[in-house]
Amino acid sequence: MGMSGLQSMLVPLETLPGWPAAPNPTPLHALLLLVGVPLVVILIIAGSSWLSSTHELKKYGPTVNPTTAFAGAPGVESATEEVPAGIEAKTTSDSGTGGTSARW
Amino acid sequence: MLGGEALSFGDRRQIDAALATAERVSGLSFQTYLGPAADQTRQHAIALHAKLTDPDGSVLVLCDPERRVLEIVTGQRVRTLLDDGACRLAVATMTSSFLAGDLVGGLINGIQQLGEAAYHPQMLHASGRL
Repeated sequence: MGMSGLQSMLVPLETLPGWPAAPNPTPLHALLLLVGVPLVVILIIAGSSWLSSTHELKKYGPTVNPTTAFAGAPGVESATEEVPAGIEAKTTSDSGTGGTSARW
Repeated sequence: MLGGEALSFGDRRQIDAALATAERVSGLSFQTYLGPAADQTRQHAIALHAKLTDPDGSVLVLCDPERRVLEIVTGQRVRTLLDDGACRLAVATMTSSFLAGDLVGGLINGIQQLGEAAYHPQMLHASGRL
């Protein structure tokens, strides 16, 4: 058995003897295999990622926007005086709550 | 210019992620109010904090970029884990970024700092389970 015979045993490029002849795949089948399957896998991964992110949003909630965090933002009265530059922080103790206030 | 800028979707996601991380780390509830506040900002922040589902276990960060006011309100239960000194440090962090024009970054850093400051690991000797 020559080199070509060994190669054909390791990497059979043709139908083995005794086996039914394998039909050649059509271009549509090849396209489906090379493009369709990766596309489906990508869609599955993207879908699961999107679902997990929306679950996290539902769990913790988008609380940044005042219209969603609280019903009705209070009206704003326009500030007439210039806010001084720099940082001014103060601590307040009222109604049992803690925290601090600051202007910048 | 900080005031009047609408948050992009990416900014919102970043702030939401910071809030979620702070909640996971500390076990407390963190809420952020970014928008116009009433004249009495402290009272306004306290009123908003009182409307939360669990005020005693919640931290509210109110930021009014137009008026350059920042308020942090902590509930009674939160105060045992997150004292006013830690809040002042977080405020210093946030206002530093605000002064540099980075509103979102300041909020994110401040929220993360608050969450880390409120983190207290459970100790067996403290819970009497030795």
